[in-house]
Amino acid sequence: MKKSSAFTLAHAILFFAAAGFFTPALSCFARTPQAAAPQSKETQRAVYGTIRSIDASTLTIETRDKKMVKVNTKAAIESRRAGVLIVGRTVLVHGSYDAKGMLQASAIQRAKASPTLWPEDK
Amino acid sequence: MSYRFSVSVAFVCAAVLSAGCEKERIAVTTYHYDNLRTGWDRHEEHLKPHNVQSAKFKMLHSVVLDDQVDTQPLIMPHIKITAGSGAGEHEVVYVATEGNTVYAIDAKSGTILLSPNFGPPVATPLGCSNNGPNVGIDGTPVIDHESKTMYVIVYTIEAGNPVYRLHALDLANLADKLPPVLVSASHQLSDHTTFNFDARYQRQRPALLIANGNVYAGFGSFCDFAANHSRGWLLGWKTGTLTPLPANQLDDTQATSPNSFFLSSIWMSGYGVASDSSGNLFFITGNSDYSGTTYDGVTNIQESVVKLSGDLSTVLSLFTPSDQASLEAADNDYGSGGALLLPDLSGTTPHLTAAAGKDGRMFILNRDSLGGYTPGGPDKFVGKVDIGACWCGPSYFSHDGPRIVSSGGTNVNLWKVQTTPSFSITNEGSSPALSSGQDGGFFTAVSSDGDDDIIIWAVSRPTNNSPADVSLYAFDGKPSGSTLTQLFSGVAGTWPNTGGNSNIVPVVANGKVFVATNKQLSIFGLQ
Repeated sequence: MKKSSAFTLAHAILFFAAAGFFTPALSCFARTPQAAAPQSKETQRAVYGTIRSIDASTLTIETRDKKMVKVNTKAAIESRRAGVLIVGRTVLVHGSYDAKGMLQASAIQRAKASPTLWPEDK
Repeated sequence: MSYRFSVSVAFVCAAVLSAGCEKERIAVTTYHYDNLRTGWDRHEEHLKPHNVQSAKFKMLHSVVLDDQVDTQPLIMPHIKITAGSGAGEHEVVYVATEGNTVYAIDAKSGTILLSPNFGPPVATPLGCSNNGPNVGIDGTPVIDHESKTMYVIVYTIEAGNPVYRLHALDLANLADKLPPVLVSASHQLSDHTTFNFDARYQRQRPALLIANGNVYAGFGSFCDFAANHSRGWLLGWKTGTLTPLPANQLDDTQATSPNSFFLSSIWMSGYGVASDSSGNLFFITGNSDYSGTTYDGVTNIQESVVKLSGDLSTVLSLFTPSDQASLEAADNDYGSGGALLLPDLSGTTPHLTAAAGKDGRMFILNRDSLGGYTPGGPDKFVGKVDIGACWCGPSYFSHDGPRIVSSGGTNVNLWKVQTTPSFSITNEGSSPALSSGQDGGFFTAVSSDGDDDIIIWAVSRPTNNSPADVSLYAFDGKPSGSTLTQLFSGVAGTWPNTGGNSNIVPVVANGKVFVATNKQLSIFGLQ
């Protein structure tokens, strides 16, 4: 992704996120059940959550059951299947877990704010 | 005050008696009743606050359809159906689905008269689930009353690729009057290269418009995906021949952007592109590159209310909030809502428009000069009020002066507009909160018998996955104190695709209320 020379709100958010301003205490970090038991690359997942931090191409999202999941956004961004990513935004992540339990996103889209509207994760 | 209801509301006299026409039956030929997009049926003789509030008002028919409905039903009285087992004269409600089926349904009995299908829809385009599992007919069709022709754009698969085709259907049998045309376009970018319309990346979501002898359609994106390819288009064709207009509108003509992210979509949560009595076109655009650096008001007109010439050649005026860069960065599209054109008013600013977006600011603008872009502000607008987050669009009626009905957040709000001696807009009343979820806002319509018996109708969005109900609401249009009294609420259907907003517009016509949801048309009325 090319970088802009202008320092915008989006960049500010990303900067503060990278600096850890929005990062929840790492002691709260927990793997999802899926992460604890890595799936094959062919197993496609759909995971809803709220973006809690952004560090370069890695998001940390908080799922509906309060688990923190790390998401690698690189492939989704490169394939142009990611909207604007902002800390606090709710998202639906499509992808698969790698052997380390990181969710490798193939697509990331905006989700409705209320978890009561989220279909079951897959 | 002069009104011009253009093509949308026509009257048919069933019989001419000595006293004149009796029981005029209205036609609803376009989104929100007219090209101004007022959403107002002011000739409703049957539905009144006292009877809508009674047990007599209920769902009369539930018609099973083949797929999710993102379009508004259209109504035509006295149509002679010439095909199928239901041949004969009917008052017909036409409903187009994401399954690419166009239904002709008897408005009184709920009987399906015709249901031709126009090809397989596109399943989850680009992997975007901010729509139903299928995308077929997504934008509300439009009817040319005089020629009894429905114009509809179908999204389908041909030779393995998604394509859009514009059809001109005979209302009598829903057969093509002309060979459907493939939607295509090209436009020169700022570096003089040619950019081509690509159906794989474009979502035809706004309702279609007939004006100036043309049919118009706007396009945006799927989930902001493929933002390096997808851009906001407004295209037009001659009615009668489906010949593309020589010019077209491409909202972002820049050759590059910091993040190769273009868009400037026209989507408006399905609201229609509007047209004034001079044939000028009005719409709102969405976000573009999230760097917030690409707006210049010429080669890129994101986050703006746009006034465009009817031949699509010239942007005549625009309004862009001075904080457009932060709207961009936060994906806070102004263009999540639609632009209502108020009928002509007295005073020094007779031509007004009302337009709100995701952040809930509803700007009242002078259509003759929308206000432009003022870096650093202050913005040049006629008025501004907060209505709540708006994936929505306003309605309008007149009762002792103009009224705007907003539907941001979870409340209906009624705004009194005064233009003499100076402009003012004041809140006259609010509804109780609707039980409505998904993104903020919903859609409304208004019925009245002239100036009397004003009812504001609304359809909520689902609040949960199961049963994912959506409900029809009715509110008295005359506030009691500062409250819009609720007259009715009842489940009208379901919307299981909770990841994509329901943008359901209730349609009131001839004593009935039509609500199209997921695989269902509900017909409400007095029993």
